[in-house]
Amino acid sequence: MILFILIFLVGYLSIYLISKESKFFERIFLSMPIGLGFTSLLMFLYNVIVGAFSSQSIIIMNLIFIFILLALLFWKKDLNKNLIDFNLQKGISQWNFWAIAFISMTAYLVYGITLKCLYYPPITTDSIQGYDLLAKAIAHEGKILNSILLDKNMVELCGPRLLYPPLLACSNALCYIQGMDAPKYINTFFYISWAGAFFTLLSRLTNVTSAAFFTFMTIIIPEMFAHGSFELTNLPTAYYAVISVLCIMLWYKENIMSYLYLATVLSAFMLWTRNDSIFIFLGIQAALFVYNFKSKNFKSNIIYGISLLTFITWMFYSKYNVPKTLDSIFINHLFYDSDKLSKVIERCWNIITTKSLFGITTQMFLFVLFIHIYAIYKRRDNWFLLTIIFVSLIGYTLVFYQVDDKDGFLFFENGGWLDSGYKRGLFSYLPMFFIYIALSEYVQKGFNFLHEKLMFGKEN
Amino acid sequence: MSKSKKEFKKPSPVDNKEKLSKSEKIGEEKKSYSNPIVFNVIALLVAMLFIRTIFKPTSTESNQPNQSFNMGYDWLYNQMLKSNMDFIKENPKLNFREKYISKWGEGEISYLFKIKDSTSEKDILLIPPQNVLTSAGFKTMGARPFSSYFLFPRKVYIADSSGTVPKDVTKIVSFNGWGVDKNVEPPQTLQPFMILNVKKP
Repeated sequence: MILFILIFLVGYLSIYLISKESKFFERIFLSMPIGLGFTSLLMFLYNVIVGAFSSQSIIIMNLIFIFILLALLFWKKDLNKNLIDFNLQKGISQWNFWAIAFISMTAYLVYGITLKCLYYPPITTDSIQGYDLLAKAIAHEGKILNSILLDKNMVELCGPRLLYPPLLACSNALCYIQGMDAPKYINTFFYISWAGAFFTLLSRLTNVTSAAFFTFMTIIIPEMFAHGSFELTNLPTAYYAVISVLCIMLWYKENIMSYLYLATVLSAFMLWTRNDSIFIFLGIQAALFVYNFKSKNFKSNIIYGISLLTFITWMFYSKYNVPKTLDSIFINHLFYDSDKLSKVIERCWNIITTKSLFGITTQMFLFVLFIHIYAIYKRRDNWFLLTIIFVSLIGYTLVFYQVDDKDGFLFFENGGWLDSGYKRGLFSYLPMFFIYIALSEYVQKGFNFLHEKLMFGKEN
Repeated sequence: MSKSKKEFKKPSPVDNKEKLSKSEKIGEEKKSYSNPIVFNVIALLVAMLFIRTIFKPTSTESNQPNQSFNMGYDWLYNQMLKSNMDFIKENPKLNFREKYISKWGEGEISYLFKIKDSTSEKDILLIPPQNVLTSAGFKTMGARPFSSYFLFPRKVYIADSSGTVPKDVTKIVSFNGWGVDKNVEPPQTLQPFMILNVKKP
């Protein structure tokens, strides 16, 4: 357990070093995912530079990292009482019965899914025949390039699951290294952090009344909620992607530079979890580019672009080290096939609007978008966020058009690329729909009005 | 800078503060004749009604449950979460293996655990080919990643149809007599399920 405390401290101190403006509860809910991200990077670097790691070497690496972070904070004279600036009175003064109702229900649901997550061992195919198998090998051999990943036949049989960047497999390995039967804590850390970080950051962009409602709506996206108890890469990717977008929005709306740095770190870990999250990166870059275009000052594009380093590192590392016999699943040239395109769009539309999978998320988004057409046209309401959503979602959808469907697996029902893969990838996009709804002009006005009516005391 | 970005104007914190202070002023004026407790009680009732509606069971009251707006939320709360929480409450002390059996039933998972118990971590295993496993009623044991996961760190091979035994194999898993004709130490009695030791050269 000491290892997880160290990982939390790595996350907490690095967030504080990056952003003094971050609030106490933001740091709490960002600490584990960021700490796990840094720890997986340290494990990778240790492998490349030194060799096989053990439980002790990971603890020592984290201790050294904490020492460096403390030294930097001391040097910057930031090691002060603000490190734990917990103001309960100020926080409570903004609460009301509406927010308490939705937060209580959200907390109950998170408790329920956490209970399930901690109870059952891994049962999903992608986990057993992929990430968690690799995690066991990493823990046993102390190496990312281990007997599973270097086994050509195994890589071929497991498919792309083994080829994703190693953040989740390394994180799961930490549980096995400590002698646990299953890596249940990792998903739990991500899920609790997910609900908490979404609420705390959204409440900073709106208010607790709005944030409580939209956090509840995000948590109850049915398919995503179910993944709260699975050990797959989709939920951690969604965490890094969506929280990264919230940080970018804080930078954009409130001019807090350090949130751009935080978004960069989060996106680096997003790309260190799944390489198909590159479309979120491209969506954010596109929005930054449009924003910077007139001033011709692309500093924010360059800063955010640093997050691509993890993607490039893993791309080259796996290309030259992992024996792949798989042919690429993609057609490697651009083409136009109207039948295939319309079929892909139709299937994607059916998936994204399926109420049993995603509730009424898309329907709510489209409705709010529709009533804001005039505001978007006249006042460019939320154009920055809409650019991120549409560029990344269109890019992500079109990549399935580029899949080579020679075996008919693309449109295969119950487990094909679209039915299974596309569906889970949407976890990174659908919460953004709720961020947009919460920040849209009329909805925000409505919730501001409600918040003012419900406030017991004057907001500080 | 703000002039050049007239089209894509980034809201400045000053603007936000001005807007906030305006709204605060309005709020202060209205607070003088509005009671937040009344509003909070109404808001609480609305919130509870909303939560109740969104999780309302659909299957019992509608002839076409698939058309209901809240079918996904109903599944989440009333089926998936509730059934799992009930099961956990009723079976709080199941061990790791029993939990797998509770999910997948007795079957190949029990055999995989038996294989694990009967072999050492250093053993290299050969599992019969898929057609033999299928005839024994097993669906997924023939998937090498699946068997490897449950038997890890043991190295696992799945036999091909020719039945060739890789050189480094130390133990052969036998179902319904498969494998007894290989280069193994003869079993004392033939059983439907056996772990056979490969003869050392």
